[in-house]
Amino acid sequence: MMTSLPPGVIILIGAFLIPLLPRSAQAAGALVLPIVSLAHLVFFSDPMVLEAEVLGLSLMPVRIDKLSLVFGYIFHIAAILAALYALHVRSTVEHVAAMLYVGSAIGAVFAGDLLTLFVYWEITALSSVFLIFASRTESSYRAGIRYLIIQVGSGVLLLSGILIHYQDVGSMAFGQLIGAAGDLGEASAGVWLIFLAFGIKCAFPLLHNWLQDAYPQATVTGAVFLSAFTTKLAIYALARGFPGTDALIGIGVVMTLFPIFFAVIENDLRKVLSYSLNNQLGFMVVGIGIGSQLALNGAVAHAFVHILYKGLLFMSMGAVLYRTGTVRASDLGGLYQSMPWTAAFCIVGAMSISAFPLFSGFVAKSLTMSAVVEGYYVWTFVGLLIASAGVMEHSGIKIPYFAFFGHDSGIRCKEAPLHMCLAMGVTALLCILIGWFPQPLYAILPYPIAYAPYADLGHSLTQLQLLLFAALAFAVLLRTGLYPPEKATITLDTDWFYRRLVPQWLRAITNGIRRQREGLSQAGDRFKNSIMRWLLHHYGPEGTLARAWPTGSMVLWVAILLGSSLILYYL
Amino acid sequence: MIFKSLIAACIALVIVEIIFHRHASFPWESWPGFYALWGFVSLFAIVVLGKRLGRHLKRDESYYDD
Repeated sequence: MMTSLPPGVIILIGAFLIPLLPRSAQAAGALVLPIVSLAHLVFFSDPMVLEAEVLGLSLMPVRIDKLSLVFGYIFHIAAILAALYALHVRSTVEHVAAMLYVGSAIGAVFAGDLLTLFVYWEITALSSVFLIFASRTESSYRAGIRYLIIQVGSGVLLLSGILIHYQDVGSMAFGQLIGAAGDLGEASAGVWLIFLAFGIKCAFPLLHNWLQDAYPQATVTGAVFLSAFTTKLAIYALARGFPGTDALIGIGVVMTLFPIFFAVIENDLRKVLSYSLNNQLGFMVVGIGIGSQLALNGAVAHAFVHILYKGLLFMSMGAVLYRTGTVRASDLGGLYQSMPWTAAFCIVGAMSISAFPLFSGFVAKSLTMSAVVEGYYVWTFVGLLIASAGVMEHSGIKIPYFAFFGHDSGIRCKEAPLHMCLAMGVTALLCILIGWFPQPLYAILPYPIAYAPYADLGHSLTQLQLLLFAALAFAVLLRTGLYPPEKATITLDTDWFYRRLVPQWLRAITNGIRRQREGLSQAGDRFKNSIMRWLLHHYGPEGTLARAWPTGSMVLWVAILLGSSLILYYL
Repeated sequence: MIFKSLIAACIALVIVEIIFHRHASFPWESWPGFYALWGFVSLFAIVVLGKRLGRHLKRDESYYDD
C-alpha cells in the first residue's frame, strides 16, 4: 500500500490537514510533512512507473527514475530546511500554501506524462502566490497579481503546447521533446509552445523579470520557499524535455551575464539575490544545452547545490529583514556585531555560490565547466568566466559586505531566532560537506560519473586566483570611491514595459476613445437638434401643419364643393 | 589590515602558480597570471559598466506608486 503512494501526495494531503491543528502546532506540522514524505521516498519508493487510463488517454502519473529522484531528494531537503526556518510563523495560509507548493513541485518532477505535469505546474503557481500575498502590503499584492498572471500564462502556453503536441504524435508521454539534432528550428509548434512555457518559468532573458519583481515582495520565509522550487522545476523540465538543444547554450550564457549588471546597482538585497538566482540558472541552462552526460550531470548537480546555498542566502537576508525590518543596502551595514551567526552563515553561502574550492558550488560548477571545455565551446567558456567574476561581485561580496560590514548603520538588534540559526547552520554545513565530500552527490546524479574535482590542483588554483583577484578589484574600487554608493532607488527592468509603458498606452487609448466619443456625441447632438428644428418647423405648435383653420372657411369650402358637384350633376 | 592580507594572498597565489605547473585546456589559459588578471579586470569592468547602466535605469523608489 505504502509503495503505491505517489511522491508529494503525502505533503499535498497533509497540507489540507494543517488548518485542523491548533495554531501553535501548525508550523511543526508543516515541518513533519516533508520529513515523513522524504522517509517514504527513500525507504518505500523504488524506481517505477505508474500508468493510468483516463478518458481514453494513457497517462503516467508517476515515474521514478534517476533524474526525477535527484530533484525529489533536494526538493524534500529544501522543504524541511525552509519549514524549520519558518517555525515561528503563525499564519495558517502561509503554511498551507507552502506545503501545497512543495507537494505539487515534488509531484511535478515525478510526473511521467505532460498532462499530470501541467496540473502540478498550475498548482505550484496558484499556491506559491499566497507566499507573496502573505506580506499583506499593497505592493506585495500588486506584485503577486503580476506574478500570478505570468505564471498562469506560462501554464496556458504549456497546455496549448501539450494539446498541439498530442495532436501531432498521439502521446502524452513526457520524454525528450526536442529532436536528436537539438535544433529548435525543426521542432513543431506544440514543442515550441512547451519550450516557451518552460522558458518563462526558467526566467529566460526578457521573460525573466517576474522573478525579481515577485520574490523580494514575498514574506521572510516565503522567499526561502520560492527560491527553491519554481525555477528548478523548470530546470528539471528542460533537462527532461530539451537536453542538447543548441539554442539553450546561447540563452544560458546571456542569462549568466545580464543579471550581474543589474545586481551591481540594485539596492534591495533580496532583489540582488533574485538577479543572482537568474544568473545561476544560466549555468544550468548552458549545461542542458550542451547535453552531454557530463554537462547534464553538471546542470543537475548545480541545481542541487544551488537550492541549498541560495536558500541559505535568502534565509540570512530574511533573518536581517525579520530583525531590522529592511534589506535595503543603503539602510544596512555593520550588522556582524549584532548578528554574528547569521553573518557567518551568509558568508558560507556566499563562498559556496562563488564556487570557492572546498565549497559546494565548486564541485558542481566544475562539472559544467569541464563539459564546456570538453565540447570546446570557447566563447561559452569566456562568457561563463566573466559570469563567475560577476557571481563573486554580487553574491560573494556585495550581499555580506553591505549587510554585515561596510559603513556602520548604527542598527543594533538581536541575533536571528534559534530555529532560524539552526536552519541556516544545517544548510551551511551541507554546503561545506558537499564541497569536501562530493562523491555522495555524484552518486545520485542521473548518469554514471567518475569525476574528482580536486584531482587537477591547477583548477582549484586558477579558481582561487579568479575569485581573490576579483575581491581585490572590489577592494580597490571601494577604496578609490569608484564603487557606486548604495542609494535608496529602484532599477528599471523589463517590468517597466508592463508596469509603466503598457498602462500609459492603455491610458492614452482610453483617453482617445473618450475624446472620440465626446466628439461623436457632440456631432450627434447637432444632428439631432437640426432634425428637431425641422420637425418643429413643420409639425410644431407654430408649424405649417399645425396651424388652426377657422370653421367658417371650412363651411364655405364645403358649400363650394357641394355647389360645384350640383352644377356638374345638371350639366 | 584586511586589504593588506588580501594583497598578500593574491601575491602568494601568483607565486604558487609560477612554481606549480598547471594544466591548460585552451592556449591562452596557460599564460601565467591569466586567471588573476581575468578576475580583476572582469569585476572592475562589471562594476564600471553597471554604474553606467545605473545612470539610465535608476529611479526614485516611488516611481511606480503614482
